[in-house]
Amino acid sequence: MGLPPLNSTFNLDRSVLQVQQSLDDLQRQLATGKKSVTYGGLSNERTLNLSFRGELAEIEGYISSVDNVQIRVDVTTTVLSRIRDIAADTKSDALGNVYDPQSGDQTSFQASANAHFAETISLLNTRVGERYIFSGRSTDQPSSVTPDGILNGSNGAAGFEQIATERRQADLGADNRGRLAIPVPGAAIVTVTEDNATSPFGFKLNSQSSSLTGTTVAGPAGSPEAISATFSATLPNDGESVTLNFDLPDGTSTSLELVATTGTPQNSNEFQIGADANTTATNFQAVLDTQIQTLADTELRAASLHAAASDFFDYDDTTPPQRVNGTPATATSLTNGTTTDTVFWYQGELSSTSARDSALARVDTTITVSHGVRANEEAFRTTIKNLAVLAVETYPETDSNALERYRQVTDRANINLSFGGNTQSVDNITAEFAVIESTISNAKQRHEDNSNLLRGFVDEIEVADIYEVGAEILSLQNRLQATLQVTATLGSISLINFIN
Amino acid sequence: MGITQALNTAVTGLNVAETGIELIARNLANAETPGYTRKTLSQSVALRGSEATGVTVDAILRDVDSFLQTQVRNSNSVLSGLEVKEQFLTRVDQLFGTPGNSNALDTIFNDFSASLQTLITAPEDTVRREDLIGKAQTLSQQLRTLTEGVQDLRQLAEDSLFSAVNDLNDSLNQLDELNDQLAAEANSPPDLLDQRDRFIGEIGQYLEITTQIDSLGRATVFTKTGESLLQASPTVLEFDQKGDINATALYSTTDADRGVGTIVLRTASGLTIDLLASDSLDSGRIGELVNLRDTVLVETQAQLDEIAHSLALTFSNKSVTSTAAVVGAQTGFDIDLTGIQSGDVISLTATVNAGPTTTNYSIIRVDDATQLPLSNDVTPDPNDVVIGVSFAAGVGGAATTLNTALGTSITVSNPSGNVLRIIDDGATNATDIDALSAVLTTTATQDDGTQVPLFTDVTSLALPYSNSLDGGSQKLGFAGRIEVNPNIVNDNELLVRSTATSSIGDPDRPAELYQRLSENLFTFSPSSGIGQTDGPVSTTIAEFTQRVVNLQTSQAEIAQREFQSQSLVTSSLNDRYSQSVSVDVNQELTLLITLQNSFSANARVITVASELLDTLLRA
Repeated sequence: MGLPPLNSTFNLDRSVLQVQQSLDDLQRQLATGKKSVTYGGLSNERTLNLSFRGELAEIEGYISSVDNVQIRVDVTTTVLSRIRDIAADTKSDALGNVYDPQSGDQTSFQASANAHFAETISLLNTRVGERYIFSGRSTDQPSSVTPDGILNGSNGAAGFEQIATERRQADLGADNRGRLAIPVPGAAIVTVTEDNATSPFGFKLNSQSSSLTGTTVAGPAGSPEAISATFSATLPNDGESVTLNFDLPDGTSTSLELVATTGTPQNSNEFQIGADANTTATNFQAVLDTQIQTLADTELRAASLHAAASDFFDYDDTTPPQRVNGTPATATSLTNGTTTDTVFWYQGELSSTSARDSALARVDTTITVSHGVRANEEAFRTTIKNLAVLAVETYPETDSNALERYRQVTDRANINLSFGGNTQSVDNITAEFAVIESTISNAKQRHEDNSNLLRGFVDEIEVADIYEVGAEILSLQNRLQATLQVTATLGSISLINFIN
Repeated sequence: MGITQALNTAVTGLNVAETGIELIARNLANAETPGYTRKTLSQSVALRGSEATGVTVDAILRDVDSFLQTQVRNSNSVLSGLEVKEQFLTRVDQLFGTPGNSNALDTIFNDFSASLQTLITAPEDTVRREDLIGKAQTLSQQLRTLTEGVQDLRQLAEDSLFSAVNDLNDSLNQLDELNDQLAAEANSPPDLLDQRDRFIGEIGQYLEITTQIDSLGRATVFTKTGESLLQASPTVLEFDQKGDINATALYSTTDADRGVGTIVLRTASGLTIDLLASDSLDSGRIGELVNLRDTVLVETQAQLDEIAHSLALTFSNKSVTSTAAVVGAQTGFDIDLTGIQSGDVISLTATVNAGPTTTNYSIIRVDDATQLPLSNDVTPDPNDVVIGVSFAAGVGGAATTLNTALGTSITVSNPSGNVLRIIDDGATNATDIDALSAVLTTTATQDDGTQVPLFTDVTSLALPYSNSLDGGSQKLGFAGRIEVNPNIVNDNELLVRSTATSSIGDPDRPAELYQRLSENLFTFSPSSGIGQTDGPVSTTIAEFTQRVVNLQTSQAEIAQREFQSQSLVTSSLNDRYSQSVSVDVNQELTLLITLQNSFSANARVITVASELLDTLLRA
């Protein structure tokens, strides 16, 4: 078989062309560093590559979310730890601090409570980036109004001071007897009667106990409730006593013991046993009346202040702040505050849903981290409520009941700030955030490891190895040279060259 | 016998040698002429009676292996089809972008998804909201660009078909002329035969053909399915080229519905045959162009539409549950269909107690009566019975229609407002209503739940995308029209605020949208070419998008491989053929030397004879 003419050798054309195309492609790989500019060129590894790229983008999204959340969680934890310290310091100082009224009739402890109150409010208005982190979903709103606005009111709306004053007037009543009527007995019967069956104000008769011989102490009964002490011809003996138990507006209770004495009363709670039932009843009523007035000016007022704080600070999406309905001294009910007449101290999201769920972050395929926090959560509310209670009111030395009242107020603050029972504490929230912190840190670590791994895989598929490409170019060059050389040699072997 | 006879014989030898040399000269001169086959001389002993009187030229022959020739032609036909396919699909591959680059569909999708995911963490951040809008716009833009690219390719196929049909007509005409010439010549000149083979080869590149040589020596050409392209006279192929091809321009056997051109064969008698309808074309350049235009690229578009469709619906779908309804002994369900859009689906499960057989009905709102009744393929679910119902006359009107459609054992009514009540036959107990629910399309951006129509159809702002079937499927070509809801572009807070009073920091809407995009499974219609009719693909949109990219780009790779392997086959066939017919210079030169010797020998005989005669005359 003879040799076909050189240029009709289709195979040769094609193979030279192929080598040249391969060279072009390798040059492109060298220049771009990529094995292929299209998915088609990735061959079998395309499916893997698409899936890796998808996962990589997802993971990078997660890492970005984690970074974002981490800053928030860090800031939140810092704020929480400071508020926790404030609550703890206030709690310990509330117990047994020095009653040292300064100018303005407030103690130095009150001044520090005032400063702590302002600091706590300011902490609750912390902002991370564009976000007020203590406002739940209302991230564009500071969580609370200014400390001054809360205490003193603003734009005609009443602040805590006014709410507390109204509540005090309502609890004490016009005659400062805590809404109790203790009329001078016409006979041998002394009655103590609440002014209104449904009114939340003043002392509420809870129970009584009596060891008075020959005297019938009955009640509380009736509507409004009343306790009666009916003295008889058989008079009580010396040292026998009757105890009245009262419920106070803030949920605490107190009691009053009156002791019968035959001699001249030595203590303020002693009443003299008279010659007959009527005289004894009159003596009893007089001591009771004085004692009630003192109790009203000390413990009832302290309880009233704490109750006012609850009225003012504890509200939710369904119940607004409460305030005295009508003329305080004669009022018999609370009414809903409105935004025009009452300062709503909390400006963030009001919702009955979980506060944590008010901010979400997807940090993994199945993990959503709820890391929202609201300034009106119980722990914060309890803290600022008690700080506000301590910050207001004056305790002048000229007032003989002031010291006792001050003790009652601070003792209650001490108890409240120990977050007893089922009360949510700042520590509870801090613990939740510690879990969040560890969840997102773990997620981030996992994502970064995965991301590196995936990036390696993707690069392996997409990136052209410069050494491999170089070697291939060399081998192709050799092949091309050899092909052309052989072709040239074959081309010269023709009869034409041998015929003359 | 004598000297004179020797002289005459030598002269015939000289003639044959001259003819042979002339033929060698012709062969060598045409060595590089396309289609030229090597000609050889056939010679034999010239006889007078039983006596040899010299040598004579019988014929000039060409040596063609016609079986190999047919093989080469068919192989070339396949190759030129594959070449077109490879060119087009490489373009599709390029449309899907460079892996990992910002022009790759999957990268754009992933970016969108990641942006939505980070918005959950910081919904109040206006930069992130803007970023998400931007990513959504890029995604919709990319779907539109891809659609444009795919439709441009279909237009290119259309234009190429036009020129291919013209060229084919030209070749047929030239072949016809050649046929006439060949018929006129007594013994077919081999050079004309070469020409004829060349034209047949050209025609073969356009479509697969069979040829026969009839008794008159004319070549006749038929399509694979037997339609005659050339007999006594050529048939004319007509192609009604259409401009402005878009996703809704599809092939149909009905002229009125046809949005693309078709190839009509017009015989001399005036008979017309639609070659596309008769499926005569499936290989060759024309066959492959038709395949690309009407099948491959249409499927690519269907997949893009499916992505756009799922993106729009996943964000705007609202599941509506039903409440139990009891009327006397009849029990069933009430469902509130307020806001039902054309294309929305109500799912009803009912059992016929005899048997029992449970049927899933998909009741679809279709106001356009021309689209009814619907085929069961309208929904991806392979096991449902699809009923199209017009809501043009409200829920009441639809209830009346449904009441008829569902038979006497099921009662459908409209007790109040937009409530649809479907109850069984009560005491008769022939049927039971098992379940009733609906998936409606939300059109409002606020106060209708956490879902939101993020993507809308650019042509119908008043009517967001709900996969409506009125006036044709809204899904068809939706990838070319999808855009981000302009209301959300104007007010990006709508990405967060699901009600007018929602806080800007509320993560619920972004979280819900991300959940729908990344985790909720969407059932994709098998008509897109992914998934089977009896087992539609149910996966996340991300996963489906990856599948589309994978499938589309792998087609290019497969086409490239097919083309390469076919060109290897074709080139080896070509090599064999050309080696058998092409001019071998060395062979010709060897022959030349032989002829030269033969010429010299004969000339020597004449010289000797001449000398002998001289001697005789001088003696």
